[in-house]
Amino acid sequence: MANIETKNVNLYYGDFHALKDISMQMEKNTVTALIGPSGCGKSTYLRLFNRMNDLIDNVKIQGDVLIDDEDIYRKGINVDELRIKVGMVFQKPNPFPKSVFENVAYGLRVNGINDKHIVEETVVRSLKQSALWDEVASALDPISTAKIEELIHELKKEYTIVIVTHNMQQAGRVSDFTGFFYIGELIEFGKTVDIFTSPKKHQTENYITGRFG
Amino acid sequence: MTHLETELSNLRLELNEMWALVISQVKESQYALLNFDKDAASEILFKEKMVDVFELKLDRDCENIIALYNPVASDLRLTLAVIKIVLNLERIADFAKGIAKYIAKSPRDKINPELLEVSRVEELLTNALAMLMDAKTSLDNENSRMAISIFSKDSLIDEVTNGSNKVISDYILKHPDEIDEALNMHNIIRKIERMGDHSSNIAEEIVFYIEAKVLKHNKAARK
Repeated sequence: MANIETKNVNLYYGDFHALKDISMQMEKNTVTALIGPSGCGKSTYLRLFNRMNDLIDNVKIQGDVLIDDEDIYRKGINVDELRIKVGMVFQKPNPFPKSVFENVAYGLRVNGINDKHIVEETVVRSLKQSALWDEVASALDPISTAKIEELIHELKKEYTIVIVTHNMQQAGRVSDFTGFFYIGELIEFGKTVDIFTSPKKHQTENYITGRFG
Repeated sequence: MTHLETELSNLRLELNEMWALVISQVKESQYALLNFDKDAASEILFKEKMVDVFELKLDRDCENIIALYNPVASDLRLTLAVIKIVLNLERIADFAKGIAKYIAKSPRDKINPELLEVSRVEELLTNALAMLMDAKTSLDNENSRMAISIFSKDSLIDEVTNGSNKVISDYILKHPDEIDEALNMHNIIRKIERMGDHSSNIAEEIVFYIEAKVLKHNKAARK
């Protein structure tokens, strides 16, 4: 049974058609990586699941977005509760335009805590409460990246995780399934190992081999 | 062109050079055998070292490409296929060397034409050579159909070599003074058979690269 599912989802920012008829199913306790060039709809799609797009003016959403078979866009849903259940991590959260890691680390240092292990553990704890990750590990050194990826493996036992990444190797390392987005369309969705060894669509092949995008 | 594309294109150029060298080694081994030409045989032995150098160089290049460029999809399949093609080419060159060694070290200075005829080595080597050249062309043109057609040529070689035990034992009965030569010829037939097998392996790798299909241990898919 799918844990997270979209059926024929279309999303418009005013006249701009940002997501085009996206249907995708994510099984429980799996990691799905969303890849594709910047501005192709990955983050918009990710934001569907805790209704972050609601905060943008002129947004129109059609189709079904289901979590545990429940339509999260139906009337009467408690959005605050939804956002507790479906956590999200950004690459550059407030208050500082830095990575999650740096933000938490900075916060701790302001409080006089500079122990590397405490900083790391706190970062890990804050990440642990989230299921949607938007380019969290970009601009991190290999050791921190490894820690985050290790964490994804650990969290998979309890969560269904969706990540947006521009790092193809990272998508390959951490995800079970991969979806390739291009200009608002889901071009190909399948097992990560299949996408990275024998993609079915030429556009996917060209993107992951670095020939366009 | 991306860096990886440049690297892969250089890799293919280098593979083609190695392939051309191995083709010439097999051609020369056929000439040396049919004419019992010891000079030609010595030249094959000398050139074998160049094949080894190509093997080492291409292996290292593939390793570097994987480590530095993390190829995926068709790029990854090409890199993996090249590693295996190189291995098989080196083995084919080894068999050509084996034939040359026999000629170069033989105390005789000619071979009985009857032995050449009954053992059908000329035909066998022509077939092995055609398989090797077809494999190269099929990769050059990315033609998986042509690669698959190589398997039927291998069946032809297998058919002839399966009958070789009887042919050679009959020859020995008829020419008891040429036991050594006849046994050596039997050995050469086996080498040619192995050349065919290695070209078939190469064809499998080419299909894997082009179509992402694994034909190894899958007889039905080879048709």
